[in-house]
This record gives sequence, C-alpha cells and structure tokens, in this order.
Amino acid sequence: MKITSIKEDDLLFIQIDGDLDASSAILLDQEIEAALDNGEQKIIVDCNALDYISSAGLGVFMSYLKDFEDQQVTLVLFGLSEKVMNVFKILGLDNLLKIVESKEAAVTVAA
Amino acid sequence: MRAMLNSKNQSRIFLISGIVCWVIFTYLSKVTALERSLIDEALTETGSPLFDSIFLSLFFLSIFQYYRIKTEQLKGFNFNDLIWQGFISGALMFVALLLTRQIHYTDQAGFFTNNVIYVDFINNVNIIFVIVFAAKTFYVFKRMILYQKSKNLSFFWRVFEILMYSSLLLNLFNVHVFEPVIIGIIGAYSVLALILSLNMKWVAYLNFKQKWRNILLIFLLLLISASFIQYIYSESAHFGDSSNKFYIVNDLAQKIFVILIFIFIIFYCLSSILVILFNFPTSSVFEQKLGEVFNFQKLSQSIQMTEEEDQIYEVLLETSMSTVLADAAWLEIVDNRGNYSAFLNHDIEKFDIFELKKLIKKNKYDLKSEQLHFTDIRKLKHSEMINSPQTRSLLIVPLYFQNKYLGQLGLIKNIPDGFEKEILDVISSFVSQASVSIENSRLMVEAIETERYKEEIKIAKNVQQSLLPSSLEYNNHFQIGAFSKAADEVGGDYYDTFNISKTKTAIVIADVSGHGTSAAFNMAQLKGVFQSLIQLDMPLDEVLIHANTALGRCLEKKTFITMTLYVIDGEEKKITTVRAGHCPTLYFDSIEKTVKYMDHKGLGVGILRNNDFASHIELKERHYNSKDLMLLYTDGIVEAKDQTGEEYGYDRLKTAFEATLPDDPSLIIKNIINNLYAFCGHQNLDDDYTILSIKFT
Repeated sequence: MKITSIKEDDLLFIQIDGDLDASSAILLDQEIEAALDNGEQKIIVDCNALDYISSAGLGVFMSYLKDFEDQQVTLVLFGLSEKVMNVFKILGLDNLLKIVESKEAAVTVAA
Repeated sequence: MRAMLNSKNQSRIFLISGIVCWVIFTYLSKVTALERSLIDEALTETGSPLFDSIFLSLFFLSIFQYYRIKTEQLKGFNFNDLIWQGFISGALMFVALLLTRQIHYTDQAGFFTNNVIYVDFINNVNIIFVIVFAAKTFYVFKRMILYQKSKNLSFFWRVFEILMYSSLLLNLFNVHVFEPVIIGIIGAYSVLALILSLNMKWVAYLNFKQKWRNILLIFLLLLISASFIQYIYSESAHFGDSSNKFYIVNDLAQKIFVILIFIFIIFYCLSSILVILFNFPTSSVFEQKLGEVFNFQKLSQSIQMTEEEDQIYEVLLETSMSTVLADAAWLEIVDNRGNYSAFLNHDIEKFDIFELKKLIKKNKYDLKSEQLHFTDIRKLKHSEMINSPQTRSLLIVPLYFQNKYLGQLGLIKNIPDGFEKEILDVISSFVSQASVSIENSRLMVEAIETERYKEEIKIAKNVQQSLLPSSLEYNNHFQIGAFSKAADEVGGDYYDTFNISKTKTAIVIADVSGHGTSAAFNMAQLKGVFQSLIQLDMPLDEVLIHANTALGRCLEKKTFITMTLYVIDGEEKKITTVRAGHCPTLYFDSIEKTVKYMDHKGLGVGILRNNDFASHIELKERHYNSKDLMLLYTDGIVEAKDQTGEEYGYDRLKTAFEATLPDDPSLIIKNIINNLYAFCGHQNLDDDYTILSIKFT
C-alpha cells in the first residue's frame, strides 16, 4: 500500500495504491487528518490503483463525514473499480460521498 | 545410603576391635611386667613379646582405620572446621595425658609408682591418648593434603600410607631404632613426608583472619605433638634406666610406626605454619579475586531468579563499586526510545554527573561507543568546570546487548590513575554479563505482557461466544440453520433470533467492523440494543433508527455496524426487512424458480449519527411462498480469497446456493461452506464469516 499526496493549485490529490486494509487505513487516516489540519478545502482521492477496501478503510472515510460537512471540505473519489464501488454501495456510503468516474469529473465537482 | 551404612558399621567394627586389642595387650603386658619384675635378669630382655606386639599393632591399625573412615565421612567440610577438630581432639588427649601424669608426680610416697602393675597399666592407657591424637591428626592432614588432588598426588599418598602401615610389621620384631636399616627406612619415609607436606593448596582459600587463627591452632598442635614426643621419650628413658626397678613393657619410642607418624605430623605442622606465613601478604589480593567471583555469582543468580530489572541495576552498581573500590558511581539505563528508564547514583550528585558528561562531550569523546578510561579528569580541557573534588580517575562503560545500547556505567575514584588494567577487563566482562541479564529480564516482562494479553483475548472470546445464541428460535412456519467462525480469536459477526409473538419471529445478522476485543464489546452492546428494541414490536425501520441512535453514541468514530433485520409473519406469510449496509440477502422463489439478491436502500449503523439516517433506509415487505429459501451471510464469505487473491464473490455464492437447492437449511450451509473452502484451498479465512439459511414451510 502506498499513499501519495500531490497538490495542484487548490486541489489536493491523494492517490491510493494497493489494498486499503486495517493496517494501511491508518496511513490514509493520517493523510486526511494532515490535509484537514493544513486547511485543505478540496480533496480528490484517486482510487484507480485501489484494489481492495476493508471495513477499516471504509471507516476512515466515514469518520470524516461530519468534519467535511462542518469545515465545508469537498472530498471527491474517482476511478473506483466495480468491486470497490460495490462495497461502497452496499454499505450505503455512495450516497454520502461524492464518487465520480473520471479525474476530470472529480475536478469539476470539487471546483 | 547403603555405602554410608557400611562405612558406619565399618567404623564401629574398628572401634570395637581397637578396644578388644587394647584389653588383650594390656592384659598380656601385665603378665609380662609381673614376670619380668620377679626375674631380675629380665632387664636384658627388653621390648614386647611377640603376642603383645601383635595385639598392640592391631590396636594401632584399628584406631587408625577408625579415624580414616570417620574423617572420610565428613562432607562439605571447610579447613577451618577441620583444623579446629584436629586441635580439639589433640588438646583433649593432651589434657588426659597430663591428668595421668599428674597422679604420677603427686604420688610422692610411691604407693602407685612402685606398683609394677599400675605403672604398666597407666602406660597402656597413655598409649590410647597418643594413638588417638596421632590417628586423628594424621587423617585431618590427609584431607588437607588431598584438597584439589591430582591423580599423581592420590597415588603418591596411597604409597605413603601403605609404607606407613607396613612399618607395623617391624613392630612384631623388636628391632632397634638405631640400626642402620631402620634409620634408612625412617630417612626415606621422611623424604616422602616432606614432599607431601608441600601440598598446601588449602592455604590459598583462607582469608586474612582465618590465616591468623589457623597459624595459632597449628602451632598449638605442634606443641602438643612435641609434648607427646617428649612424654614418649621420657617413658622410654625411664624404661632404659637400670636403676629403676620398674619398667614398662610397651615402649612407643621403639615402635617405628609411631616414630614415622610423628615425623609426618611435625613436618606438616611446620610446613603449614611457614606456608601460611609466606601467604600473608597475598591474602588481600586473593580475597579480592574471590570477592569478584562471588559478585559474578550473585549477578548470574539474579538472572536466574528473574528478579526485577531494578534489582539487577542495584546488584550491578554495588558489585562494580566494590570490585574496583570506587568512591562514587552511577548507572543509567535507557529504554528502546532512548529515554531514561533508570538512573542510580551513589555518592555523587546527579548534577555533578551531568556536568562530568558535558565535560567529556566537550572533549569530543563519544560516551556511547566504547569504554572510556580517564586516568585523571583534571588533565582534560575545561576541567575547571568540574567542581566535585573527589573525581580524579573516571571509567565509563557502555552497556550493550547485541548492538543495542542499554545504558552506561560510570565509576569514579578520588585518586589519579585509580583503575588497574586487570580491573578494566573484569569490569567490561562484568558489564556484558549484566547487559545480558537486563535484556533477559526485559524479555521476561514482555513475555508476561504477551501472556496477559492472550489471557484477555481468551476472556473476550468466551464473552463473544456467549453472545451468539446457543439455539435458534424456530416454529412451524420456517426452519433455520446457522454457521459462524471467527478469523481471530475474537470476531465481530453476530446473529440472533427473537420470538415476538407465536407467529412472528425476528432474525438479525450483523457485522461489527474491526476485530478483537473492541469488536466483541460492540457486539455485546448490539445484542443489548437488539434484544430490547425488538420486543417492542415496532416497525423494523423504527427499530433500526433507534438502534442507530443508541449505538451511534457508544461506537468509536471509525466503527460501524452493518446488519439486516427480518420479521417473519407466519400467519400472513409475509416477511418485512430493513438493511443497514449489510450484504444483500439471497432469495430463492420456489414458484418462479429464481434466485435473486434482495437489493434495496440501506446505510450502515453508526455512519450517520444524526436524524439524516432515517432517509437512507427503507422498509421492505414481501410475501413468501412455502419452500422459499433465504441465505443470509456476512462479507467474510464474499470477500474470502483464493491463493491468487481472487475473491469468492457474489456470483460464486449465488451459483453455489443454486446448486444445493432445494435442500434443508443445514445441508445448504454445509454445501456452501464446503464450496467456499474448496475455492480458497484452505479453511483459514482472513475475516470472520457467518451464514444463515431459512426455509419457509
């Protein structure tokens, strides 16, 4: 698992590479927390290389829902595989998070 | 045990035979003495007659053997006790001899002294004292000579002992002591005795005080021996004095055996005294070496007894200080992160220690890398910053265990160049020994922690197991089967049933995110919430909303629960359900002959912890047919992976379900689980997995 953050203008891109399980979820959590501390307003998560997400990984996204709302932060996910998307759907998180297909769509939503 | 009994019996036999022999030769000598006193020319016929000599020799042999066994029996003796014992028995015998002599001297009237029988008898009694003293001392010295014996020495001693006993044979013939052959034998024997007397290994083990004590005791032994010799020869002179009418039959001065024994005793006493005297100057060094050995022993014992780390530090600091005779010392121990976990200082203030370390760093020495030895701290640059006058020589030894820095030991002496080279070696090996024990005790603590953790997990597992129903509710409207397995010791899957009324039954399947102890506790809360809400017979969406509110308050921020709730109404042949983000149920419609995932809106419990939750869930209702089947499961089933990392998935589950229709619930579960295991290639799944099957009748 690898997490890369790239800042492009006012957008923060977080790229997740590999499996997001209990141990790697901690890294994502730190990344998002750091982004919020830095006052990032627009976070785009690139899930193209995300192979698998466990309930711990879902827990990370879920736990920031209220913070995003309070601090008016927009978080957009894109590039989810069908399998990963299905996990979000079953849990019902797809209705609470902004999930789009492409990077362009994500940038548009964030802007 | 048997051998001990034997040697005990042996010693008794020798004692009895000694007494018997004494009685016999005393009687014989009385007869001889009487005969000789009656015949005037008896004076030419000196010495003991043959029978007399035989029993006298047997008496010597018995008493010596008795003491040989007695002394061998002593176990775990030390030299001080041994010499003390030898001295006490020697002194007792000497006092006894003095008493009999006293009677002799006070008898001015010659009432006793003119009685031939009496004089001879007293002489024979005194022979006991002489022989007991000689035998005891001889064997005490044997023990001392043979301390740390070599093979050669044992052999040498045996030869010596045999030669000595063989001299008893000479007693049988009344040989004259001054015959050249006899003088030759005595001379040869003396050489042997002298060589043996040089075996003084025990002296090295005495400390200063013990040396004084033993030199005194051995000197007294020497005096006692001299007195005995003097007695023997005065009696002998008495015997040879022709003016004296009375004479004794058994003259010890004529017995080669006795002469040899006393030569040996005198030699050994003299050589002991000399060796101890010459060893006085080295005793303090030896004592110190011995002290170091004891300190090592103490340290290794403290490892074996798995004492607390703190105690090991104390032992290390104190023993190091006493080993090098340091005036002050400190010991600092750091934990894995480099923070101080212990700091011990003796006779120096913490502040001074830090000042000292600052000075050393200022002189560009690395405190952690190697042993630092400063012969005089005053010669370092900036030494004026040190205001503790006692610090002159300084030794700092880092503690390492397999390249892991554990801390450092500092030793201070108030004289320049206070640490000898040998001491440095001792300290470094001492410190490495201590490092091992510190590391060992840490590992021990860790092992105990792990053990405690395992124990807690075991308890949590028991709690979790008790939360799952031991039996499931069912009635004549449906059959049910269930299977659940936790991946870790403690899982987060939950299922339960509840009879709301005679015809209405509630069923729940849930998955608490995360594993381990916290998942088990969340599950316990879930069970409480479910059991209390479900019996109110509310619509299921309201149950779920209440559950979300209740659980949302106690779940951790990143924890959520997925669940599906069902109520089966047997009377109306109707099922109602809500899905809170849980895996969709597989449904077999027995009339349409179709298998479908029941997909409807839902959101995991705990994800939205406010009123918005209600808008994300949906109550569904459907009619069921007889022989319809439902399959409820947790994500551990669909997310199970094979060796290549591919997931079992929804399609395979559906196919497996279809393939096993229309079996009974328990058989369906068995077939699906077998299919799952066959896919994975093993039975150790990464996640908890639960499967429930319901068949309507």
